[in-house]
Amino acid sequence: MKHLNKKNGVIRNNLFILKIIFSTTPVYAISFILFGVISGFIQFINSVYFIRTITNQVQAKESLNKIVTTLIIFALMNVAYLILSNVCNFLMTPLAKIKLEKHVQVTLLHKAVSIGVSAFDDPNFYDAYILSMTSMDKKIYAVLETLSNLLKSIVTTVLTINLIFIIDPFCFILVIASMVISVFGGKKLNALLFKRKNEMLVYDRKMDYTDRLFYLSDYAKEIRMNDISGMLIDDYKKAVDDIRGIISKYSTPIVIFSHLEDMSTLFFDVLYVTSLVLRLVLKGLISVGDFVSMINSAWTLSNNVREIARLVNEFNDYSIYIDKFRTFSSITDENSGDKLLTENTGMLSFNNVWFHYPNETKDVLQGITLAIKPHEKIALVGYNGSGKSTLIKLLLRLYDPQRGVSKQMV
Amino acid sequence: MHEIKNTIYILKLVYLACPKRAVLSIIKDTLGSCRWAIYNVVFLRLLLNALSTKVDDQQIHILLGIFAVVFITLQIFFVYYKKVVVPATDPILTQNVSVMLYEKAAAMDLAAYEDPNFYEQYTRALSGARGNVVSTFGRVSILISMICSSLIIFFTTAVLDIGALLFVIIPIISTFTIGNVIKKMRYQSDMENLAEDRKIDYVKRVAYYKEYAIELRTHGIFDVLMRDYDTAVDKKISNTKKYGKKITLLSIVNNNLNYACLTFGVVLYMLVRIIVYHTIELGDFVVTVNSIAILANNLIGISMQIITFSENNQYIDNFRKFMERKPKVVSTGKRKFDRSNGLVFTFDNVSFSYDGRKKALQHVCFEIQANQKNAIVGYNGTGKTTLIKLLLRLYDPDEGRILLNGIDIKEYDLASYRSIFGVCFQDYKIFAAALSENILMHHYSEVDSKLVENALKFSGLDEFVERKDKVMTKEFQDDGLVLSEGQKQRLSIARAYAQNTPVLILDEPTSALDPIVENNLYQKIDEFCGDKTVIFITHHLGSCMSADRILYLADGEVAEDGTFEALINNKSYFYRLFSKQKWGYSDETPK
Repeated sequence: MKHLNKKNGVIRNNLFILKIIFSTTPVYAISFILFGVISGFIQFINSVYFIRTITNQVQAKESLNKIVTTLIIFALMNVAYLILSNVCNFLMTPLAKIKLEKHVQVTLLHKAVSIGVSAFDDPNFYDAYILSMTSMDKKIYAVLETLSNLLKSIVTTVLTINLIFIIDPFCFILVIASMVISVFGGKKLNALLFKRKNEMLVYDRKMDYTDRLFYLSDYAKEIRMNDISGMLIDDYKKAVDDIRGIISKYSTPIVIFSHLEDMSTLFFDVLYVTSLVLRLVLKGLISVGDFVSMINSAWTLSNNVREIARLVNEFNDYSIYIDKFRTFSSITDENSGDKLLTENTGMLSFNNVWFHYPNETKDVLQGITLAIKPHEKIALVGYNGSGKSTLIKLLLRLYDPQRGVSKQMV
Repeated sequence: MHEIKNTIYILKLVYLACPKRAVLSIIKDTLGSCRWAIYNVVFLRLLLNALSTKVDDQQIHILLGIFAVVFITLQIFFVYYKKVVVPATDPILTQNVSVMLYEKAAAMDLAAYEDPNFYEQYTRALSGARGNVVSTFGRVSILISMICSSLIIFFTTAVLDIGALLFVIIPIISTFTIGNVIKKMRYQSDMENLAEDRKIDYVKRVAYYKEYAIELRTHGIFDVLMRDYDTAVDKKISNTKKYGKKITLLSIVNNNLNYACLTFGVVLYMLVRIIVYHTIELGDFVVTVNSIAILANNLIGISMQIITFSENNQYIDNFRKFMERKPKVVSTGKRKFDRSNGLVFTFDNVSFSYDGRKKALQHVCFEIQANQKNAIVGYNGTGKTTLIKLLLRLYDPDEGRILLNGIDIKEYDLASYRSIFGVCFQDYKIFAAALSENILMHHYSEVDSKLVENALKFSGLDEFVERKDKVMTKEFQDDGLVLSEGQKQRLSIARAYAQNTPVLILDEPTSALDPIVENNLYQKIDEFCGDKTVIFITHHLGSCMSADRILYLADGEVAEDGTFEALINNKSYFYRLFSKQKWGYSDETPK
C-alpha cells in the first residue's frame, strides 16, 4: 500500500474539486456560476444603482411617464431574477447536490472497499483518511457554492467601485486605500488565527474522543459500572482549560490587529462621508441621487469586501480536506494479476512465507511452508497470538506476505 | 408555538451555560443590524433635510462629529465582542453543554442505547451538539436583531409616511401564509428523504468502518448493499423533484408578491406623491425608498431564517427529547450497602424481556451466598448475560424482585449499589488513558501502585507492571500501547479485580485466552478471592470444577442448580453438555 502525503496548493485542490463538479453536473455547474455573476449584478443594481437613477430623474424633474418606465425596466429585471433564483435554489441545486453526492459517494465507497485491509490498521491514517471520507460527500458541493458567492461579491464590488470612480475620483482613492490597509491587516490577523487554530487541534481531537466514549453504546456499560466518567470529564475540562490558555495567549495581538484593521478602514469611511457631505452641501457639486448612491456604495462595498475575505478563507478550509480526499483517492492497491480462477481449484501452497503487520516489528509468521490439497479439511491450532488468524488473512489476500509466496496451483 | 418554545429553550440553555455570552451576543447583533437602519433613517434624513432648509455649516459638522463618534464606539464594541468575548466564552459554553450531555448520557438507561430509533435520533442530536447549540443560538440572536431593526425602520418610516407602510402588510401576510406552506413542504420532503438517508448512511458506515472491512473483502455483500444504495438515491431524486417543483412555484409567487409591493409599489407611490402632488421633499423621498429597501431585505432575511429554522427546530427537538428523557432504572430509596449485614442476593421469581415479547428470563428463582464461587452455564441465548445485567441494575426486571440481604435492590442508592461489583464484560473496552488508569478507572496516584501491581499479576499480565504509566491506544500518541485481544481481555480481568469490590463478575472472561492462561486464572480466583463472591459465565465446563455452585440456564429458566458433583450425578442437562464437550461434541458418549 502506498499513499501520497504531499500537500497540494489551495488553488490546485479547489480546482481539482471543481473539475469533478463540472464533469458530473456540467449544465448545473455552468448555470450556477452564471447565477453568481447575475446575482452580483442585481445586488449592485438594487442596492446602489436603482436609487441613483430614480432620484436623479426626480431631481431633474423628468416626466412621471419616463420615470415609471425606468421603474418598470428595473422591476422586470428583478422579476426575471427572482424566477431564476428560485428555480436555481429550490429545484436545480437540491437535485444537483444529490447527483454530486452520489457521484462522490460511489467513487469513495468503491475505493474504500478495494483498498487493502492494512490501510485500516494504522489508527492515525484510518481516522485522517478513511473515517473522514464519511462526511466528504457533503463538503464537495460547498466548493461550487463558495465560488458562485465569491463571483457575486466580486461583481458587486467591481461595479460599485466603478460607480464610485465615475461619481467622485477622490472617494475612489479613499476606498482603495482603505481596502489595501484592510487586506494587509487581514493577512497578519489570519496568520495569527491560523497559528492559534493549529495549536488547538490536539484538544479538538480530545473532545471528539470524549464525545465518542459517552455517545457510543460500546462504552456504556463500563461507564455505568465504574467511576471512569469522573476521570473522563476531568480530563475533558483540563483540555478546555488548555484551550482557554491558548486563546488568552493570542488574545492581545489579535485584538490589536483587529482594531488597527477596523479603525483604519473606519477612518477612511468617515473621511469618505465627510468629503461627500461637504461637496454636496457646501458646494452642490453632486446630485442628491449620486450622494445617496455613494452612501449606499460605501456599505455595499464594506459588506462585500468582508464577504470576499470570508469566502477566500473558506477555500483554505476546503483545501485541508480536499488534501485528504486526494490522498485517499490515490491510495494504490496491492498488485493484482489478471489470471482468472477456473472452477477446478488446485492445491494451495505457502512457500517460506514471512509476515509482520504494518507499523509493527514482530514477525507474526516466520517462514511458513505448507500445502493444502483440494477437499482437505484442515484444523489450525495453537496458543493465543501464534498466527492462526494471520495465516487465514494472508490466504484471503487481506494482506500480502513481506517475503515468500502463497500460491494456488491449478 | 412549538418553534417559539424551542427558541426560548435554546436561549435559556445558552444563558445558563454562559450568561455573559448570551447577553452580549444579542446586544451585538441588535446594534449591528440597527446601525445601518439608524444611519439611513436618522442620519441621512437629518442631512438631506438640513440641505433643503439651508442650515449653517456648523450644525452639519456637529452632526458628522456625533455620527463619527457613535460609529467608532460601536466598532470598538464589535471588535471586543468578536475577538475577545467569543473566543473566551466559546470554550466555557461548549464545556458546560458537553458536560451536561455527558452526565445525562452516563445516567441514561442502557436500554436507550439498544432502542435503535432512539439511539439513531440521539446520536444525531449529540454528534456536533456543541457546534449546533452555538450556531442555533447565533441564528436566534440574528433573528432577534433583524426583528428589532425592522421595527425601528417601521416606526421611523411611520412618522414620515404612514401610507408607505401599508405596502408592508401584503408581504407580511404572504410570508406567513405561503411561507408556512413552503416550510411544511420542505419538512415533508426532508422527512421522506430521511429514511433514504439512513440507508445511505448505513452503506457508508459499512464501507468506512473497520469492523466490516474483512467481511466486505471476502464476500460479495457489497454489491447487495450498493443495489439498495442506488434505489435510495433514486427515491431521493424523485422526492426532491416532486416537492422541488411545488416549492419553487410557491416561492416565486411569494418573492414576486413581496417585490411588487415593497419595492415597486412603494417607489411608485412615492413618485406619485413627489411628482404629481408635491407633498414630500426630495430628501424624504430618498430616505423612504431607501428604508423600505432595507426593510424588504430584512423581511426576506427573516422569512429565510424562519424557513431554515425548521432544520434547527428538529435538532432542538432531538436535543430536548434526550435531555428530558427520564431513566427508568431509578432508586426508590437512598439505602447504602453495608457489608456487615451480609451479602446474600435473592432472585425472586424474576422475568425479563428486551422487546416486551420474547422472554429472556422467566420466573428465575435462586440465591447467591456470600463468598461463593458461582458458575453460570448454558447454550447461547439462554439468558446468562441478561441475568448479570439485571443483577447490576443495568436493567430492571419486568416481574419479580432481586433482593440484597432481603431488601429490594431498587431501594439502594444506584451508585452505591453498583459499587459492590467489579465487572469484566464480554465486550470490554480500552480507553485512551494510562495502563494504570485503565485498570483503576480513575486517576492514578502513588497509593494505588500496589493495587495495580496485584491486579496485573492476578490476570497474568506481570510483564506490564513496569509499563503501567504508558498511555494506551494510538488515539493521541503514535507510540501508544496496543495490546493483543488476549492481553486486552486479561486487562479487563485486572480491571474488575482492581475495583476491590465484594463481588466479582466475569462474563466469559477467557473467550480469547488459551487453555493454559484460562486454567491459571481459575487458580488465581481460588487463591485470591476467598473473601469475594465470584460469579462467572463460561462455555468451558471444565472450569466449573472449581466453582462452589453451578447454575445451568435453559430458555431463560434455571434448569439445574447445584455443585459440580451433584449435577454430574444428576445425569441431566449439565451432564449431557459436559460429556459432549469432553468427548469432542459427538453424539455418542463412550460407555
